[in-house]
Amino acid sequence: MKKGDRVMLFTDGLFEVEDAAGTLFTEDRLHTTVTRYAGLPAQEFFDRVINDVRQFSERKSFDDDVCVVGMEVQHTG
Amino acid sequence: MPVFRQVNRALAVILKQADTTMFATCFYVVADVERAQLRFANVGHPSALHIQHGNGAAHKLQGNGPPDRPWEFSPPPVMSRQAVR
Repeated sequence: MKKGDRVMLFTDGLFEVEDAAGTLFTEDRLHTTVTRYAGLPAQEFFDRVINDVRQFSERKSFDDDVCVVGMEVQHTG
Repeated sequence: MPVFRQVNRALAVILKQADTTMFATCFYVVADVERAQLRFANVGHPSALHIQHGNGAAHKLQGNGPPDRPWEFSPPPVMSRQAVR
């Protein structure tokens, strides 16, 4: 791991979300979303990712319980 | 006693008494900042993501081995672990 790297832990409630047509957000789509916002500061990064999933949902909320834990390497050695 | 064995035993007591189907997952991480290493064990969680600074590439943290102890649950959960540098 290097300085600035992040690790994101999450339960499946973060991506098992359906839109109005019944389409699942999916883990792959979450991966794409994470990559899109990776350059943002940590707080904004997580806010954007979670908000994108919420906006995808038909009810603009999560169907399942969600837990997300983010870590960022501040320094090594 | 290893952490996961303790957690497993404690959870087994609760789940055996439960009168309904319950799900439990666990992700255990040890961050070694001196060596810049992450060691983890994943029990039933989606793969965590390692997001690299600079290029923004995201990779799944996937394990490389099964648990070394039998589990009291049935069916046993899948556990994996890996060191990330």
